[in-house]
Amino acid sequence: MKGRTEPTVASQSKRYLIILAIPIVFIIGCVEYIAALSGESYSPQALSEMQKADPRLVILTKQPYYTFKLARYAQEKPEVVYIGTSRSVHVRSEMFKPYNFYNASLSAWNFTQLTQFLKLMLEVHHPQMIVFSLDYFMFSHDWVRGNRKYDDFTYHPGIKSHFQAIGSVLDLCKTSPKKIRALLPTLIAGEKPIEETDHMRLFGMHGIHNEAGMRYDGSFLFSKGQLQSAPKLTVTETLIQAMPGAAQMDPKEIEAMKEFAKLARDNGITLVGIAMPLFKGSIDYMDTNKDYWKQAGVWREFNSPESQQLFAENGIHFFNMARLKGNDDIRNFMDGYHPNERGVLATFVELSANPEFRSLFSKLEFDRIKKDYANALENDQLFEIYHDKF
Amino acid sequence: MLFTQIEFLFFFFPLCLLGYFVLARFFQNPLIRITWLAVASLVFYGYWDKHFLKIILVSIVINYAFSCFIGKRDQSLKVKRSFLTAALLVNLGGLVYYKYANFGLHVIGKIAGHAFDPLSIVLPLGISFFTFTQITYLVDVYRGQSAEKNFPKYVLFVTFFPHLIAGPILHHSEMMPQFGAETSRKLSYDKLAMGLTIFAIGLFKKLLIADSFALLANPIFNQAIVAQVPIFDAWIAALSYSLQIYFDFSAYSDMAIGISILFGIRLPFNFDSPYKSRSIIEFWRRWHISLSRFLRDYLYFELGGNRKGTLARYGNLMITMVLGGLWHGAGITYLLWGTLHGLYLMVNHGWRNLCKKVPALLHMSDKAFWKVGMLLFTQLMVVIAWVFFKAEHFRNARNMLYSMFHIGSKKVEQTFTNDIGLTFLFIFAGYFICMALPNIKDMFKEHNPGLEIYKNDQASTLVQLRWTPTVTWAVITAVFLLLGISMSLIMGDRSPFLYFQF
Repeated sequence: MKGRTEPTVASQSKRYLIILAIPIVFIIGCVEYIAALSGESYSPQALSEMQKADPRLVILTKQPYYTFKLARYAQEKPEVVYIGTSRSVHVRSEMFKPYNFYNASLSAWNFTQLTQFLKLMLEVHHPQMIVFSLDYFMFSHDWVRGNRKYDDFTYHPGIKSHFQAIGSVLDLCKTSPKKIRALLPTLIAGEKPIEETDHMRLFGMHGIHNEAGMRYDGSFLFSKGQLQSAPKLTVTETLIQAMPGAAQMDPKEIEAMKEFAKLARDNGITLVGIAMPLFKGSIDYMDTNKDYWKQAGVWREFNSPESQQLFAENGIHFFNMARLKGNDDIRNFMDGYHPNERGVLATFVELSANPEFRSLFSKLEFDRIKKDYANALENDQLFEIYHDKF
Repeated sequence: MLFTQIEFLFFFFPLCLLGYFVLARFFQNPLIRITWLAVASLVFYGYWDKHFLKIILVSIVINYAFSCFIGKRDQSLKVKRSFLTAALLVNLGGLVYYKYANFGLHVIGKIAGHAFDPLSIVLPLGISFFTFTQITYLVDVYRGQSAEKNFPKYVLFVTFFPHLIAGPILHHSEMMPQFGAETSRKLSYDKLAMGLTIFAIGLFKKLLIADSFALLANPIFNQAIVAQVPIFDAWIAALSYSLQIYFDFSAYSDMAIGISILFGIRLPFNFDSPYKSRSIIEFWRRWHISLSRFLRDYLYFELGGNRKGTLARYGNLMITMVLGGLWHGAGITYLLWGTLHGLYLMVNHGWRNLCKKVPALLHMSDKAFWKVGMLLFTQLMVVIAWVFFKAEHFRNARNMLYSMFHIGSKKVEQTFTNDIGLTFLFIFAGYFICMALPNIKDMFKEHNPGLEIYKNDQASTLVQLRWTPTVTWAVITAVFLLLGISMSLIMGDRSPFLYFQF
């Protein structure tokens, strides 16, 4: 009779590795399936197509914003495009009507990135006009250094974004298992999970989780919770803490600005730089605080006539709206340096009185914008003034 | 690249391993796979910042050249000594420039009453590790203990990626014979099972445990930059940071050993349950063992060690620990951390001498209550020192310590911890793992995954665990690996090891 042979170390280890692999392969497979269905692992182009087909769709995945924005830009081919930081995320297409407009904010934080983004834009379409965030802190060395990680932007993110997508699904499993459970029947049925909220339709796990995302016109829809807590953040220090100052404007960044402006000029694009409003408390701090005086050097230099001259010489039409009338009203802001939709609308009302701005955007519906602003004031609307109007 | 990063887990590591064994399969010559591993290690390093690559390559070439000059047989001792001095100056000069220049400027500025603008210097990752590794090598070449002629092998010795960024500080005598050895030619199932398990344990420790403690410690330490914090918060932060750095470093050490074993290379154990120590002397034999060895063999002994009397011994101890503190970083807090440990060691040695003279004390130290007391006391001292290590600057550390010991009259009401009871329970669980569970060295004792470079007495372990390739262990490892990979995917690049900055 043959006796049972003892398993060798090798066979034991082989079995060990197989048992180890099975649950890992199974669970990663499940997560891949969810990511594929929920839009997290969609290409920016596919997401862009979806939004084009359904303008009420608000999209947010864990992919970098700028990839989606670039895809939407390529699809929309706007006449006027807004690029820059988070300070302009509330600019709406209604404010630029009748121009074909797209808000590609959250795409560049310094001039190197603006140039990089512009080059990519030019590969697919030449806009007539670029409106961009032009702020004092963009000339601060620390700000630029702090945002340097974005210098290596990959506008075609490839395989890494796929892993980020998987991470996004797992993140949701961890932070909000209830949400995942609620979506399970839809996912098991093989349908795309889309959550209706306030007449908008959220798509992308990240969007559903945060109840936020990018609207059809590129502006950003914030979650209700975030909007409710916004006024509490309007403290003086938020600007100082978030945006590092400097003794002076960094010459390297001035050069980068010139390079960006030249690229636009060479391609026949009109450049309009706007410094969006800052909360008055923040401005007062920079203007008067003795401890911050040195760091506020870049702010003073930015506001000087020499800088205005510099921008003009480089073909930039600059509108400094930092000291907007009404910037002492915290209800025009999300925090010390992010104007909300009403704050942005107020900016456009003030800009409508500027002859240079009027001549640049001669077709703008200034009277309607004023009326919209008056209505917003009357109805005490801070956000969602234009809601699903595009 | 981080061990916890997607690029490493899904691309670099599998490809590097595959390439290594494919080359080993087709080419008998070990130089081929050594070169592959050296190049891969440079890719691993250069992935952070390609500019760092130039620095490490220059350092390697210069040191290799120096080692050749120093190692020449017909060279006179005087010439050898001159070369060694030059080499040390170049190495330490580079380290001082990259790591300490701005700190020096800051100190000079403070003394002179004039603030100098900091130099625009980016600290190359792991510079302390690769500099010390090479200094060790050069000194040993000078002593006639080594002379490596094979350049790719030397490059691999310095750059071998599992140790490159956060140690251990390798000794050539332990590593050179392993590179290209016949045992490293084949990947066996048992090595794969063991390596993956150790790696999974490390991944879990880092991403699930260490990073969770970081979430408790960081906001409170940040608040203590500007003001004092409530007493419970202060203790939560201090204890959490102690656990964070423990699990962080332990995780790195485990992962490095796990990765290495897959290449058939055994790295030294660099971490041996230091929180089970019952004295500071023991702590330093268990914490960052390869650094302690370096400081002992190449600094403390060179200074004279304990050969010139008690006073000189204490002085040497203090110098060694202060420099050890500064090795971790250029800053007053690191200096204070090192000084504090120097003082601890002096007191510890003094106490030991006293115990030898007073039999009653020696007798007492064998009692269980005394052992437990010493364990807790040692831990308390370590935690206090960690406050300096973690603090951004002196005021930060002072605010934390004042808060912990309720010094000062500032009334602080706002607490940062939602559920103090649950948080302390979590901290207790962390300490239970540190003090009651075995480490990798104990768990894999029969399988010999690493080199024991310091023979410690077996630390007491309440729970005995021995790894064997069983179904239970496979399931546990799968859970660890899954949770670790999941956290890695969630965290992306946001979870660097604490020791990377040193």
